[in-house]
Amino acid sequence: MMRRRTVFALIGAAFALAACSGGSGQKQDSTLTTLFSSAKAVYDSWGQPAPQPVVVTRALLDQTPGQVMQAIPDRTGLQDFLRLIAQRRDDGPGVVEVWQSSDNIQFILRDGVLVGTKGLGPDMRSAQAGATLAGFDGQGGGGARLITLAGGNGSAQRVEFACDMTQMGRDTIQIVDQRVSTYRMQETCAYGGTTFTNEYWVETSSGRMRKSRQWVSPGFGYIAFERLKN
Amino acid sequence: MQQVSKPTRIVTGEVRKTRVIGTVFAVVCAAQASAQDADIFDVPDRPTLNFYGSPGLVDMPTAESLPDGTFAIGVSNFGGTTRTTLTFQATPRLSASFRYVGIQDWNANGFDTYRDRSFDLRYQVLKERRTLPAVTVGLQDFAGTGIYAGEYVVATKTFEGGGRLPGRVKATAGLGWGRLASSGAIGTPFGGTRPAFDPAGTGGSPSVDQWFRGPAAPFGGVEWQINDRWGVKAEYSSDAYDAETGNGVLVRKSRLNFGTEYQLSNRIRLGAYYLYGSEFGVNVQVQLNPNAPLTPLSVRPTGPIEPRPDRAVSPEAWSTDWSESAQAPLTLRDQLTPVLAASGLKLEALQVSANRAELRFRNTRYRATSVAVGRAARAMAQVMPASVETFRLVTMHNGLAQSAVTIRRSDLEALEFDSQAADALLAVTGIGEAAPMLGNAVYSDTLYPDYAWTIGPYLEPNYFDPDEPVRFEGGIKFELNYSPAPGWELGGRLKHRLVDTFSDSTRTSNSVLPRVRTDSILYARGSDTVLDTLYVSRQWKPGNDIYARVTAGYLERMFGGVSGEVLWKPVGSRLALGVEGNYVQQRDFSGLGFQDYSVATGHASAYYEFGRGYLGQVDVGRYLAGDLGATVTLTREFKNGWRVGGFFTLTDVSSADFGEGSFDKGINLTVPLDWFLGTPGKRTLSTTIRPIQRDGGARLDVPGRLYEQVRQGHRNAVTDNWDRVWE
Repeated sequence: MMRRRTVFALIGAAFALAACSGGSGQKQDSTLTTLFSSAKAVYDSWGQPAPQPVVVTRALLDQTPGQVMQAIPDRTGLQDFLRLIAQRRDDGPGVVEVWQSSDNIQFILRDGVLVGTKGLGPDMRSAQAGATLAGFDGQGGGGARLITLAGGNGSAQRVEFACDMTQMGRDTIQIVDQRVSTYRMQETCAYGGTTFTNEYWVETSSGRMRKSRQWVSPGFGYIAFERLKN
Repeated sequence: MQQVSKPTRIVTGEVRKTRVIGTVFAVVCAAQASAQDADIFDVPDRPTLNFYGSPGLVDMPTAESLPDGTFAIGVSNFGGTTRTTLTFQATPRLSASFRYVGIQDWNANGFDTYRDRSFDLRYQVLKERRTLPAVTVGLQDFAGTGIYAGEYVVATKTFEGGGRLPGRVKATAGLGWGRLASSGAIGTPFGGTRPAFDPAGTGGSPSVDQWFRGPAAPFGGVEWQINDRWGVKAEYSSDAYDAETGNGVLVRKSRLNFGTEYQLSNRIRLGAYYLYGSEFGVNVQVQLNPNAPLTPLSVRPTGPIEPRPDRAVSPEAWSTDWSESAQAPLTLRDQLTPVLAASGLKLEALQVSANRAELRFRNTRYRATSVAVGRAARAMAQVMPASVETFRLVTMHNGLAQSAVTIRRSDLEALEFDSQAADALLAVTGIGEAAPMLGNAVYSDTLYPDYAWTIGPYLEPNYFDPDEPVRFEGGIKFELNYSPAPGWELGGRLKHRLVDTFSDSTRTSNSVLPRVRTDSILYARGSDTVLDTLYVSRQWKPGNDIYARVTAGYLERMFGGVSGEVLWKPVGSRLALGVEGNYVQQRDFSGLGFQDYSVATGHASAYYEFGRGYLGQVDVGRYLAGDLGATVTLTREFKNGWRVGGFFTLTDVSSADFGEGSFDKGINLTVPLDWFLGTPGKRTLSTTIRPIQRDGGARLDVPGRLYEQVRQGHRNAVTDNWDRVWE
């Protein structure tokens, strides 16, 4: 529905006239032309078939170099595979990993806990993960998590969520052809009338997070991660 | 650090469009986006509009306010009356409306169809509390002799969740004056009398002596929002429609109005009504919030910063020997240029030493200067040798150095994934003044001569001709900007008209002043091909806080000549002061010649940033018709580039000499293109709407005035958008 409205708005503002431009600097179309071509691009995208999900097999994974993370946002249910583009330690807790999607969205994780996104629009700009990581010690727990969320107008809002970690016990999950023994944990965070619940599956043998479903922002909702290949 | 290649085996061979996560989600999210201002989790209660385009019932107002920053567009029609209203909620409590009305079959006062413009102001005195209602005071058509002039005090209380009724009920009661007391008056609380509507008056001035004078009458009603989509309304109106019934436009049989409304989408609501016992009406209500973009802006991220090696482990990487080489600055410049270009930034100059570097660059892509600064800093961290610790980043705009942002490289490395990355970086960042020129630097050897040209369509609307509310002209335009050296520009615009309804207008000027603006129809009747502008300008910085500009040529469609400007604007100051002087001659209606009229015009200007996006400007001086006076402009600028402003000009021209409207006033509206597109860009759509254009208080339209060029790169503008520095 949104897309249709966008098209009408844009077509209303633009009309078709060929335009061209040039220069030594940035190529710049006239404003009407830009609006028109944008409307056309949205129109053209109508009726594109949704991509079919890939059934991941061991053979497929073996052929793929490097580490692989599967990501499925709740909103669309569309599957994507992320690649690890950076890994480092800083003064914060855990190891920071930057994972990038096929359309150049970045997800920043600290020991598997989401602490930022880039390129989405409704991004999580930054977040604390200390209380969450401390809750993985098998005792449960919780605490405050300060999360900075992008507003729709380029601003950001710092929100202090009160979070509570609950042990859900041992859980054996299936990742491709492996059965992985994990501790399952559930983190419920609240700020005013807003709550979200993250779920984490941490491998018992390595302490590495293999699977999670985490909240990103009010505009984006949840995304599910599954670490297919280390 | 570990670089891993893309898992091509999994991705290739599948029917997979890229842009999987970004685009699809951006589009879905936009549909969900609601007004996001004070708190992004708030879903503010959205009032419905009445036939006047204000929060209200059917024809009567309520005490509700729109969510802060909202634009409401209401188009209503009943009984031959069409009202088109634009309402802007300028602050959480204050809103202003501009309305254009057409009443068919008026057949009086020299009109077949009566057309008029009117302004309203509303102020919410009390916000709704648990037990107390919201209270709003409103001035309707407050500036003039229009037929809608009226004032009101109104209270509205919301009832929700109680009893057996689903949804939400809003009850409203108020007291009206003027038009809103033309039926069922109960007395004259503040005394006084009101003069009758005078169609011959010039209008336009606030009629303070009339406000809340004369009889007052109660009105009221109920709105029941049954669910998120459907609502019904019933009201008791205190409007007798004297003027309309007197002219036979409509028959009024009842004081009661009823209606039902349907929320078609997040932004659009439709209503159908039965009014005054005789007429059916419709109302289309559109509410837009600049804070909720049509497509959320997403910027393609850069790669993470590669930290420098540990100094203790590999001291050789930290050697400063490189700085001995005369070639080093050139090599670094050549390495940095493509990295910056990938982010839409252009290197202008680079000065490097063993542990400091200053980059002067131009931002061609991002509206928020902070995004450009953040990307330039990360480009420097990617390219500069490890020993370079301090980065000075100077944003340049048409040859003017705006400000110098100083960031330590180790802070950049340490804070990239900090839990409050933006705030923490701002705390250790300095934003100071930039010298006009950078000494001992290497300059880009590919930047000048710089030029850009465009051929494309244009469309120029012209509003409020009494015979035809919207006239327009459209065609093809050619624009050229050529810059041979920093600060120099040759600019021009050539237009060729293909369609036009404007020159058909018979409303040629009746002005008694020099016709500096009212001859626009004669210009429109001129040749189809028009050289709109052609000028040479030079701008430069005589000092760290001083900016200067000289422009000469065909400055605008109606005037050509010379223009000079000096602006004082310290980097961290909310206040700026400027002086502009021009000597111009009026251009011929066709061709490149000039008419006899020439004038020296100019202003002294003060600009002030009030904070939270509110900007003020006062210009005092001599206007095009030779009149002396001042213009006051108030603007609200949203972080994403929307701007809404109102202005008025008072000069020594009398109301009678000025003509209809009494003095010059209007609205400026700027909408950023990226708000629609969701991809970063700096272009905007701008328009100025005046109820009527006369010759008094008219200012020269010089291209490239300094203030906005400078302000966008100064401290307040940069820190206001600092949240985006890591984008």
